[in-house]
Amino acid sequence: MVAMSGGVDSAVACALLARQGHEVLGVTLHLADLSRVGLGVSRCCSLDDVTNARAVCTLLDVPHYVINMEETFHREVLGLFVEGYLAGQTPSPCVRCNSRVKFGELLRLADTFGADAVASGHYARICRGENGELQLWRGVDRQKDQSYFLFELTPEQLQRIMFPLGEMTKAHVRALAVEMGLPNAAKPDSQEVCFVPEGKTYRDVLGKLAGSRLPGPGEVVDEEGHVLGRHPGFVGFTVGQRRGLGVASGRRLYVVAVRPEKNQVIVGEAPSLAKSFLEVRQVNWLISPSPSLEVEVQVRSHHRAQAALVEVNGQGVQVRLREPVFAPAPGQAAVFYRGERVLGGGFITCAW
Amino acid sequence: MRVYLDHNATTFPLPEVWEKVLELGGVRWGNPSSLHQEGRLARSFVEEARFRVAALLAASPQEVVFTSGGTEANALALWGLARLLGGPSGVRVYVGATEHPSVFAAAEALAGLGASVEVLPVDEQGLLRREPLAKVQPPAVVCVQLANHETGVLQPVESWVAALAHPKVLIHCDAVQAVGKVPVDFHQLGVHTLALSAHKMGGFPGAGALLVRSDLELPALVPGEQELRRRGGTEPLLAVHALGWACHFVGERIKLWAEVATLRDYLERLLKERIPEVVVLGQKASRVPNTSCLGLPPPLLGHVAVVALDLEGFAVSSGPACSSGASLPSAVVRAMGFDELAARTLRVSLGLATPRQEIDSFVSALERVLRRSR
Repeated sequence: MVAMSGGVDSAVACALLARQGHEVLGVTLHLADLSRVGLGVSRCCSLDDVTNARAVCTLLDVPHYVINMEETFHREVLGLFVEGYLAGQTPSPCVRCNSRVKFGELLRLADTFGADAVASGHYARICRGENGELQLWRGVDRQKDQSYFLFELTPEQLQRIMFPLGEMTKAHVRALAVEMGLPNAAKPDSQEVCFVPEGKTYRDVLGKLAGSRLPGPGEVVDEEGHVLGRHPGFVGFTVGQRRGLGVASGRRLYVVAVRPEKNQVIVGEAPSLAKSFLEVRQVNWLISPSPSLEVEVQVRSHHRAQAALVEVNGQGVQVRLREPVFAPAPGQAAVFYRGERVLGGGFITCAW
Repeated sequence: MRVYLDHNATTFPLPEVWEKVLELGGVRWGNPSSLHQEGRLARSFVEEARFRVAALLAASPQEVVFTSGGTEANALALWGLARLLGGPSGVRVYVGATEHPSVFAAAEALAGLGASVEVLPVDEQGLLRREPLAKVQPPAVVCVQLANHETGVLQPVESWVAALAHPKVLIHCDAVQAVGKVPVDFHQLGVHTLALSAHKMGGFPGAGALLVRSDLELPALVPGEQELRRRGGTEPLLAVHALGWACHFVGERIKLWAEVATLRDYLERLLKERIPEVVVLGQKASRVPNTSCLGLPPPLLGHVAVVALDLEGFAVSSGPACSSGASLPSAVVRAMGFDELAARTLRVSLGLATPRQEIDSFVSALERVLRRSR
C-alpha cells in the first residue's frame, strides 16, 4: 500500500514498486478540509492532488482510493499543533502526522486491506544491522533527507514500511518520473506544512482553529523587561525569528522566548540564543540506549546535526552540546543520529 | 470473479434494453424537433419512450418530462414548484432529513434566492415524524422521498400527502430508488412531481424523468422549446430510448423482486447469525426489496470496509463522497439518530440477478475484513 500525496515522490515510489512486481495499491489520505472552517482547501486534500495521484495509479494500472482520516488528523495532529502554539511553543506537526496518521493508522489499514507493507515517497532508508535489527537511516539525498520527521517510528513499524526513494537523489527521481511518463513529473515540490491552504499562513489556520482562545495583542519586551513594542498575539512567534517583530531598534533582535502566561514575546540578541543544554521529552528510541551516549543532535529540519552527549533520565533526556546550538525552539523535535543512523528523538521542552 | 452488490448506485442495463438500443445502430435519425422524416422518426422514438415511462407509473405521457437524470429532475421540480408558488423568495422548502443530497443541493440553491429551507425530522426507522409535517406553513414545497437511497426505507407518501393537503402546498417525490423495484402509481401517490432515473432501473446514465401533474404549468430550469417548454435541449435519444424500454421491461418483472426480498432477508439472517454485532438500519420499516443498510462494529469504518471488500472482489458502498472522493459520514443514518454509526455504515444493494452464493461469499468476506481490522 503506497501513501500517495499527489506529488512526484510518492508517484515514483509507487511506480518503482509496481515495476518490481509487487501487487500495489495507492491510497491518498484526506486529512484536513479547512474549507469547512472558512479557510479554503488544504493542499493535502486538494482535488488537484487527488486527481494527480489517481492519474498516476491509472497509468500504472494500480487501484487507487481516497481514505478519509480527518478525524484522526484532527485528534492527533491539529489538536497538538494548536495546543503547542497556545503554550508558546513551535510544534512539529509533520512528526506526529508520520507516526500516528501516515504510518500509525495506515499500518492498521494495511491489515484491514490485507496489504503486507506500507510504502511512501519519503527520503529515508531502512537498513538491516549486523544483528538483523532494522535501522532508520538518512536518505542518500542530503538536501531532501526526511529522517528528521520520522524518528517517532517504532522498530515494529519499520518491519512493515518501505521507502523506495531512500537510495536516490531528487534529480534521479524526477528523471525517472519523466522517463516513466508520470503525469505529475514536473509538479513543483511542496514547501509549506501540508494542511495550510494555498495563500494562507499557519497563523490564519491557528486563528480559525483556536477561535476565541487565540490570545490578543501584547508586549514585545527585551530580556531586561523593557517594553520595545506591541505584538498582535504571541501565537506564531518562534524562537529564533528575526522578521516581523514590529520593533525598531539599532540592534539585530531575535525572538528569544515566548511567555504565554504574560502574553509577552521576549526579544534579544543572537548570543542569547546560543544554547548548550536541551531538555527533551516524549523520547522514542530506535535503539536500546545506554544511560549516556554520544550522538549528533539535529534540532530543526534544516540543521546540520551537532555533536552532543545524551543522558537518559526517566522518560526524558538531557542533551549537552559540545558547541552551542543556535535557537532550539521548544516544541521542535531534537533527533539523535550516529552518522547516517537515527537513534531516536523527542521534543524540546526547554533549552539553556 | 467480481460480486456486484451496489445496484442502488448504478445497476447494469438490462440485456433486453441493450438489444433495443443496438437495433438503432443502423437507423438514420434526425433531431426530434425537426419537421422532416428523419426528425419525425427521432420524435417517434422519444414519444414511444414517453409512453412507456408513463405506462409504468400509471401517468399520462404529457406528464413525462425527460431530463438528464435524477439530480436534474429533482432540481427542476424544486425550482418549478417554488416558481409556481410565486417564489423562490418567500416560499418555504421542507426537506425530509434523509433526502438525497441532490434534493438538499437544490433546496440550498433556492435558499440563496430567498426561499427558507426547513428540515423535516425522521424517527429511528427513517420515517418522517407526523407532528412537524402537520405544521407545514404554506406557501410551501415539500420534498418526500419514496425509497431511501441508503436504507431502502419506503415512506408512506400517500398518507403524508393526505396530511399536507392545501392548495399552496406542492409536493415533490424523489422516487429514484423506488421506480422499477416496487409498483409506483403517480396519481395514487397524489404528489405534484416525481423524479426517476434510468441507470437505477436498467437503463443508461444520461436520462431521467420528472413527472409533472398535468394541471401544473411547470416553469423550466433550462429554458427552451423542447418537452413542452418544461425542459430545453435536444432529448438524448439513445438514453431516452433505453429509459423507455427499461420501464417496459422492469414493469414486466416487478413481481420478481419478491425473490430479491427473500434473498435480502436471507442476507440479514446470515449476518445476524455469523456477525451478530452488525445492525441493520431501518429493518422494521417497509423497504424496497433489494437494500440493506448495515451498521458495522468498531473500529471498522464504512469506507474502509468498502475498500477492503473491493480488494476482495466485492462492490458495495458506504456514505456519500465529497468532491475529492473521500467518504463522509452518512447524513441519513445521523438523521435517524445513530450518530455513532454514521461513519460505519455499509450499503448492500442487490440486483434482480444476484445469486444466493454471492450473498454467502459476501458474508464470509465481511467476516474476514472485520477480523483483519481488529
